Amino acid sequence: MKGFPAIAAWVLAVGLAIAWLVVSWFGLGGATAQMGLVLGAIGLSLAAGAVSLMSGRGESQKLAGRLDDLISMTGDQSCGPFDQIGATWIGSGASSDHSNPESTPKTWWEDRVLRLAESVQESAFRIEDLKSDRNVYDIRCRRALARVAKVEAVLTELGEPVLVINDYGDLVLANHAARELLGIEVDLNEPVAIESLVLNRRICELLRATIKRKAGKQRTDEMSLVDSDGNTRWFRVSTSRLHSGIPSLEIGGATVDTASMSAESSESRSQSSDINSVDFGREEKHRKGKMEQSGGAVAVFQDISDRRQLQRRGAEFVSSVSHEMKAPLASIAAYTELLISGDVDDDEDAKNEFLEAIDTQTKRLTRLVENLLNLARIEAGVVNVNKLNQSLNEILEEAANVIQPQAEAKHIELKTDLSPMYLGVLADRDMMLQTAINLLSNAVKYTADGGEVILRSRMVDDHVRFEVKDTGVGLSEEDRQRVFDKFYRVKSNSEMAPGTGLGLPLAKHIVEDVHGGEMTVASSLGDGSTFSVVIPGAGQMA
Amino acid sequence: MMSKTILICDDEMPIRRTAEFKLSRGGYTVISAGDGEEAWEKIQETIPDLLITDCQMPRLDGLGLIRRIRQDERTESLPVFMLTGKGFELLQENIDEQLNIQKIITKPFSPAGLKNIVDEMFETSCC
Repeated sequence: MKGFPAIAAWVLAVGLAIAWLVVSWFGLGGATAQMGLVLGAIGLSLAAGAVSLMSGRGESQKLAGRLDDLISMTGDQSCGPFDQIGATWIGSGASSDHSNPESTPKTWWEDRVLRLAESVQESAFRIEDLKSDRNVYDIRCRRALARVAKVEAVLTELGEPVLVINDYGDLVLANHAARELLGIEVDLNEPVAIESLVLNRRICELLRATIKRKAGKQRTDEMSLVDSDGNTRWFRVSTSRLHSGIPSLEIGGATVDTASMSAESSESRSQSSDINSVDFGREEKHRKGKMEQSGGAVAVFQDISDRRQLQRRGAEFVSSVSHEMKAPLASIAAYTELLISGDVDDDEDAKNEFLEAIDTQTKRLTRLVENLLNLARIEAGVVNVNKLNQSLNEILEEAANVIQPQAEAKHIELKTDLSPMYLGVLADRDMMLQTAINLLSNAVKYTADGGEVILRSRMVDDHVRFEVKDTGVGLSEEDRQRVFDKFYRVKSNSEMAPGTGLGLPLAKHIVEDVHGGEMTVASSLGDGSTFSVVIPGAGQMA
Repeated sequence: MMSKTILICDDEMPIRRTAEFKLSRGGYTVISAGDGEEAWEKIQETIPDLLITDCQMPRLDGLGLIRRIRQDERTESLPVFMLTGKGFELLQENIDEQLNIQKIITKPFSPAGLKNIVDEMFETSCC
């Protein structure tokens, strides 16, 4: 029993004991005396009780006052950081008579209140830690969201199609390029097996095989796909196993599984409406209700159509070059064998004929090789150019003489309509001669027997112009646009005029890159062609 | 015994000349043509005992010429050798069986070797 009731009881007991001793000692008798003693003891104990009560009330008031101080301080931010309130309160002594806040509490209630203050302070510390952790988490979240937004923006702008599946083979991400290429129209907010959205079996099998491999391992495959325009394009598809690298966060000493948190933000979604990212947390809960981190696999499509086309053209070129080279080589080999075998020993005419033929074929082969080398040199920019002021008409006449036998063999009339004026040009003679020969040779090749080829030259302002016009098969619009492409051969007439597809590209290079001129073609299918060359003039002589 | 008649069809004059020279020295009668159309016209005049034709030629190529020959009952059994510079693109197994090409000879070829193959073909067919 504590407090003033206890004090009063002790006082009463002591008072009665003293009264009894006095009565007994002094032999005071009588009921009156005894009654008086008892009343006196009671009065004494009541007085003591009153004194105790008043003293307790005072202490209670002090306690209430201190508690009020503590309450007001916890609610008043001006009292300082929350974690300092406890210490401030303990040391303030604002409404306390204690002058040394570090001293041992004098009363039980002070001890209790002190403990309460310490507990409050400790709680304040923990709350500050939580606030700090939350700030850190907020910062991380903002940074992560910013990264997500940046990645989503990159994926949107990326020209290469990208697909991502999770560990269960569900398609979880398809950027704009992938959607266009593969015809994916649905949102990916709910997990859908990739086979339901991507009809190409090889892509699906490649991705599924990838998720079975170790993280970081790549697989590649090349395949042709038909795009939304109906064009067949070749892609190199590279797949890689994804790391399950979603980081965890430490908050208040506890590890938070961030796989359960949404990867979306309203800002990122509004900025990249073309990308439908999946809430991995909902996805995982949907699957098994367990907290798991997803890895999956990513597929990136690299358009290699141009490379494939180049390879195909290169293969066609090699085949054509091989064929073109085999023709003169076969002739040389055959003639040589006949000479060596002695089959023509008794036929001097045949012997001479064969020797001349070998010479002709050798030159033919040499021209082919030179064409190839010249084209390579011009394209590489390492060709030696020897430009001199000379007559274009002289060069054209020589070219016509070279091609004349070829035209006669096909009964084609090769006419020249050269300007009576002196057409001076600053040109490399061999290159310009090669150009004219190529144009005339093509004209004869693509003109049927009995046709006509006209070589014409004129002065046009400060430039000189020459053209080769034929009555041949002409060019379709597609062929006309591509006729100067290296290796390109007009398919409809490849049987008519076997060649390498180098003559015109070489001629165009010579005219435009070496001489600063321009080469064009006007043609329509069935109506012949006119190849025109315009180069700067070097002035005229009287 | 009448000599066998061989039709040489190739747009390369040196090929025609060397093959014709060797085969004629070997006792064969040789007719030459510069492309498939010319060869077909000459076949209408005289059906040869053997056709040796190049593959790539203007106007009518070798395969086109052979298809015409196989579709004409007068020439459907005519033996055919094909000359080609594109060996890997004209493998025997890639040729339509209906064309019934007896031999594919890749260029450059030996005139003497060609004569030997021709001799062997006629000896086999005679037996």
